[in-house]
Amino acid sequence: MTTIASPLEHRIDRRTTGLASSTLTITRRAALRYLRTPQLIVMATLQMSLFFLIYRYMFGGAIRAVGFPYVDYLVPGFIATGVLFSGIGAAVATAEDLEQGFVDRLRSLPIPRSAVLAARALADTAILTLASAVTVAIAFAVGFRLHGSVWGAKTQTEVYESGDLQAERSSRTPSSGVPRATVFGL
Amino acid sequence: MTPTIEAHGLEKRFRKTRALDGLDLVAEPGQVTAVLGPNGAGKTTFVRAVATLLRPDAGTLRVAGHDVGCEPQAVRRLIGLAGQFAAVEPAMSGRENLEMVARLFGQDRRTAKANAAAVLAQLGLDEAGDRLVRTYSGGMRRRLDLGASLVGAPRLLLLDEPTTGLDPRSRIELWDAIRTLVQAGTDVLLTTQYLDEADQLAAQIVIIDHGRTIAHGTPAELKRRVGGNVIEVHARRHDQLATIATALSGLDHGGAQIDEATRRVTVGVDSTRDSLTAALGSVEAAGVQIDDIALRQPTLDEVFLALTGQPIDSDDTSRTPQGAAA
Repeated sequence: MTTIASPLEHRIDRRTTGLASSTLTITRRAALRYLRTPQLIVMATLQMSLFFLIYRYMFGGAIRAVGFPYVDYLVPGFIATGVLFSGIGAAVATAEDLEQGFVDRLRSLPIPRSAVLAARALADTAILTLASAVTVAIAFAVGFRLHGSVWGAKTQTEVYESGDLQAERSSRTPSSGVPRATVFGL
Repeated sequence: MTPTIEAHGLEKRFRKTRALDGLDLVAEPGQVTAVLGPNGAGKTTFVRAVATLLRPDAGTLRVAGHDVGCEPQAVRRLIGLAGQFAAVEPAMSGRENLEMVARLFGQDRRTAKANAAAVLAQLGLDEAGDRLVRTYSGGMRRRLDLGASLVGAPRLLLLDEPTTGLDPRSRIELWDAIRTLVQAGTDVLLTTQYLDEADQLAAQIVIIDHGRTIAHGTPAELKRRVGGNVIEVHARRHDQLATIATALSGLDHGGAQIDEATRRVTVGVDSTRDSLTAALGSVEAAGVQIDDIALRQPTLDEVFLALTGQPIDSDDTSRTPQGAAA
């Protein structure tokens, strides 16, 4: 161990570190934590695909939907449920950060406190978008088709993803084939 | 000169528990101040209050002249916190961890990189710097955690039981790292349960219990009050404990303490040079068999006994307001 007289560069700055840059810095950590734990990604994707196939082919065979194929009802419901379930993962990750003193460290730094939660939400949204893309790819492979416009489907997906943090209420409209969601507090 | 930390009548209550009960503490700049106390004494609560993580119910708390309640952001610019856990990200490398904290301190990319590299070198982690933290040993994680609290070049470093759970070698390495920092001009507030740790590192020791300051002073002053060192004799047979105690009580004014459960007799001694030889002589003269005889520093228990006349009570009910008032 060497003694360094003045090891660190000081930057005289009285201000708080900006919200955007601190949020991005913490988001990067949450995303890396996920991406560098491959078993998390593999397990989550595998489990989701298996459940999806079970519903599509085993239970789906016993269900007769009126007007549309069962798979067209199944996929939106599946994505919505998946988004809600991912809230559990976010809660567990936040609880771990609290337990292990990581949140204490962040809160003792000169950053806006909202950055801690904003980063969590941002990282989870990014991960969720990836996961939903995989689900949709599998869905199309097993016969899911859009009956409304692509724009409508895109809006629905975005609404679902914001539902991770917001109160959400959804109702189905058979005419479009995908559920229409109403979100409060956006 | 403005004290680094100035606390007066600090109170914090968690439901029925008084974690801080009128704590007074002044830490002067340019030195290590150790807060020494048993589990539940309020050490962590105090550190969290200084780190702006919780708001005291009453009393004043200033860090380098800034009120912690009114100017928390100014305080956060001055401090670096290393808590009881190694709060580093296992899925990132040591370097990435340090750069992240440096960026959060508002340093630009280039400064953050340079500071992270300097801290890694300072803590002897430069070779492991690019490995993921999940491959680090416990001691390395603790050192990295210390590094994360340093990378913002804080004026005051808060270390909450930094060596708890470390093996003796990692402990000494961490002590060396802390000493190096103090030479470089960082003030340190350290909490510990170990008297030898406070003695090794601190210029000023504050002993607290039940959220109150019991005693404070330099290690030498406190040791003088406690009576320097302790001679401990491990008896071979239970029935000879009393004989050993009688033989040893001639050495000191305080009288010997007998611990039946562990077959040990302890006695406080003032002078260290000849007391061990004298003790061995009197034990041999008494004609008893012993397993072991040793000269050591007093434990926290013995310090409490000497300073308060009471042993540390581990009874949790006494930590409630009713018990504290009694």
